[in-house]
Amino acid sequence: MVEFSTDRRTLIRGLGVLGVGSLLSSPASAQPQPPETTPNTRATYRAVVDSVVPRTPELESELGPEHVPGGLSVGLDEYLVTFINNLFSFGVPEAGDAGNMRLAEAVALVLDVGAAKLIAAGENDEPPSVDRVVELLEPTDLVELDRLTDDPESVLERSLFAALSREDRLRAIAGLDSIEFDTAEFPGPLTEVDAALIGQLVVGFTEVVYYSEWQGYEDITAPPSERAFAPDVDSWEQTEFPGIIDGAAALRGYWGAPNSSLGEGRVWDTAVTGGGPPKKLFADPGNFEDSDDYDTSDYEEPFSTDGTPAADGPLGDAVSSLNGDVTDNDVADGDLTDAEDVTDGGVTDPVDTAVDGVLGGLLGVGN
Amino acid sequence: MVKDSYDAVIVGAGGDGPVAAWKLGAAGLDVLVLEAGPFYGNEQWPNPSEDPGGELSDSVEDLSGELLDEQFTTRELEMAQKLLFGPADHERGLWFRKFPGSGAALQASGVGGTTLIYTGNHPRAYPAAIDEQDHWPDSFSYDDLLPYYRELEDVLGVSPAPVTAKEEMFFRGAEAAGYDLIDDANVTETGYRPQPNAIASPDEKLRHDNDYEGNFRHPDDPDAVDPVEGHTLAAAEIAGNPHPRGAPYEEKAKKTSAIGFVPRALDTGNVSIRPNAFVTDVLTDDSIGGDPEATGVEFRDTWNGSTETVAADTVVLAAGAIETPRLWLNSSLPRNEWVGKGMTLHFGDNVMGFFEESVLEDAVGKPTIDPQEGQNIAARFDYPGVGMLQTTGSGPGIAAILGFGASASGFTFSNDLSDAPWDTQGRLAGAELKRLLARYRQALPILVVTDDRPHKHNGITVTPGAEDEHGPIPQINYVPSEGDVQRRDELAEIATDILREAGADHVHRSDSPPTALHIHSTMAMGKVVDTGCEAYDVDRLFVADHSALANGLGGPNPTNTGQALAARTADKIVERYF
Repeated sequence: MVEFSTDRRTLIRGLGVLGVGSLLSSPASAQPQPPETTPNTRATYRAVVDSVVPRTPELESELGPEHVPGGLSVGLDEYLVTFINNLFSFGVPEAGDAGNMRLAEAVALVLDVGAAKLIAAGENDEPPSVDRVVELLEPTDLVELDRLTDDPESVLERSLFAALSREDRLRAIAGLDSIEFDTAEFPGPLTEVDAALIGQLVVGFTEVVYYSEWQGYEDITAPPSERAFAPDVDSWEQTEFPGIIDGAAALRGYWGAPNSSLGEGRVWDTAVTGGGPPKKLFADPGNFEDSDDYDTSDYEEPFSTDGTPAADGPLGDAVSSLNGDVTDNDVADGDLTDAEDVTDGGVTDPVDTAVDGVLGGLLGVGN
Repeated sequence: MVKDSYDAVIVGAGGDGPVAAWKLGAAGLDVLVLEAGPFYGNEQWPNPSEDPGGELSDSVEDLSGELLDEQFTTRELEMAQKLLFGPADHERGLWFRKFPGSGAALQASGVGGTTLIYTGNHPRAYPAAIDEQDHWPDSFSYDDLLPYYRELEDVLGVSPAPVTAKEEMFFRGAEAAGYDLIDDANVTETGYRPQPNAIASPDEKLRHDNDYEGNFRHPDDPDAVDPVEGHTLAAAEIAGNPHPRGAPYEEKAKKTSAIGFVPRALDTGNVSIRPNAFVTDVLTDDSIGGDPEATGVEFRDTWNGSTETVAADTVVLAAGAIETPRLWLNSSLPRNEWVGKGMTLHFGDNVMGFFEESVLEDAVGKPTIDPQEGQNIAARFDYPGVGMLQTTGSGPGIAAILGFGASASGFTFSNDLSDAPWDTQGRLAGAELKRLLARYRQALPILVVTDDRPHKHNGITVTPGAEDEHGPIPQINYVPSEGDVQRRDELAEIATDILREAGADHVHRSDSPPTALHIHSTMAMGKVVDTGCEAYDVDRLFVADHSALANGLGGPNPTNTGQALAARTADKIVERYF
């Protein structure tokens, strides 16, 4: 197994890439220089795209050749980094608008931690392999790695999420939902609060971007009035989506019945016959009856109306992601932010404090 | 120029604020509306996402359908990025809200607010949710809303939605499952019906077997070929629907509050709208003894960061069910233990059915359902006490994230469903995702909307230290109750039954994480505001948005009720102070 470390030094180094430290120490006017995306981060997002919307040669015989390409063949991984780095704006009361929160590296780190957890629990189906990381990278990434470090191999080994098989990566993401992490491993509140959000980010957003019109833009970050778009989108071929339309001749009529106020005018078609009165499609909508004589006296409550929080399902997700645990008191007093068992990983030095402070300030508890 | 003082300042030009503005302006009050987002389709801001543009708009002459056509491309990703809750500047991301767990808040900014992305659905509350559930004050009843419902539905032209293939499949399934057709606007029974939508009906020319060969443009458009009025049956509501192209501003088919009420408000000659203005403080005077009195607000320009104050005889909070309590909590206002608490958000889910081409051929005479056609949401199922279902057509990107991208129960491959009525549950990725999305045009998605109940532990808090340029950010806390989960499960089972009866061969349930789409009851009547929606603890401070609703209305889409209550609140303001 590849050695993988999630010690604070590693995390802080990763977070240093966020540029948040410099942002904190340079008030008002200074815009931080956007840091470069590292080869590790690129590998992680390529791994995400490779798992969520992979190239699928196996679908060629089943569905046709247009179903083979996936997100990597259209550069979705690069856009995902841009998208996540520009998702939330970042302003501070004293300094005003300070651009957007650069989150791609932090999200990538959380994915690596999720991978480490999966492996530590022995829940991966296949062993991680640095070869997968190398395969995901472009030759230029490897050249850049060589330039950045004396020890490229150990840097590559840090991309543990990318080193997993496609399905094991999804397992690692699913593991983030249930948050059974020792929060001491994380740099403050970021992942305590939002690890479950990571799955929605990297799965949900990868899907919505891939299946949307995204591929048709020359540059989606250009000013809207100058944004060139051509409806040439692989995923639209895969879904048979006909493209952006101004209208459709699709009117089948208005649903109604002869004895109902719904549906009026000519009958275009009879849609349902059977038990009740036949349901027909009319040329005009008709209207809803609107009398003052509505009667609610038969109303009954089919299910419990007390406020007892659900014991599992979404409760487990929402609550555990807050602080690991929420006491009855926290629920009862209506404030889920004041649970006292927020662990912080032992902040001591000024760099740690700055990072914790900024992430805490942005993302939640801890201050 | 924003003047020094007004009779009324309204915080937020979302779904409800423009209704209050129109009513107050019509009563002769001098009104300023402050909106955090941009003003689309207005000649004062020809490039509202790129340049600061003008300062305020006070004339209906400023409104431009042509600009709206340019700005609202209906491309789903671009429009989501443009409209979701954030500053006007396209280079800046969304304003951050913290939602513990994996949920998300889906609100829009800009004049029109979340109605810019809403699907035009305008049902009334279930009468029993107001008269029989005990969340509302005894002195308020469904009867109090009825005259306002009737007036506003008439203004917006609310009418039964048209049927395309997706609605016909749903109605057939509902009939086969044994449910009755409801034809009453005041719903007290379980059954199905076409959506009452605030969308102008499509032209009869667009009949499916009519060989229409025009370009779906409005008669006012010089380039129109075989012009049409009303909805064009492109399912584009979620993507901002400005159809028909070439129509004057007021004649766009989908009646957002920006289309339906803003022109009326400006037409009074007494209303000014100031976009790009984020209100950060409610100012009060407590020198007179007793409760403090609202005297104005402070706001911040989102382009240049400058702040201004404006005085007002009355202040109306209409910033939405997240930002209204946030603003209260960030202002120096009296503590009220219910501010922000008791939130309902219709705890939603998605259930999607897939159909064989031959089944569709038999039912609707073609091999596709075509979720990209018709109105996005045009058919519904009502179940007072439990909630509702509605069919949800959309583009493939939104279909993907709604159906497969977000779940509270992991991935499909790890879920044991031997006892479940659906075939798959959870997130989907990889080849399996691509297989199901290859059937996008044979899919019928159904949105589950639960009558979740107000619980004090659910709501909006702010945490000092977690701040953006407008002060401490809102944190959305939501944990459903056992009953809420049971109601949602019941609805998901009914949706599955309807889809199976319609002939679906595969049913997928998302088990969505709590997502805030319809958000209400965070400044509830009877808890924070009185039956006239004036704050118990601050005189001359009113709430005119969904936060004043005392519960989730039983599940129906809240826009109609939020607007009706805002109109009523405007009448109360005039009665009490002018």
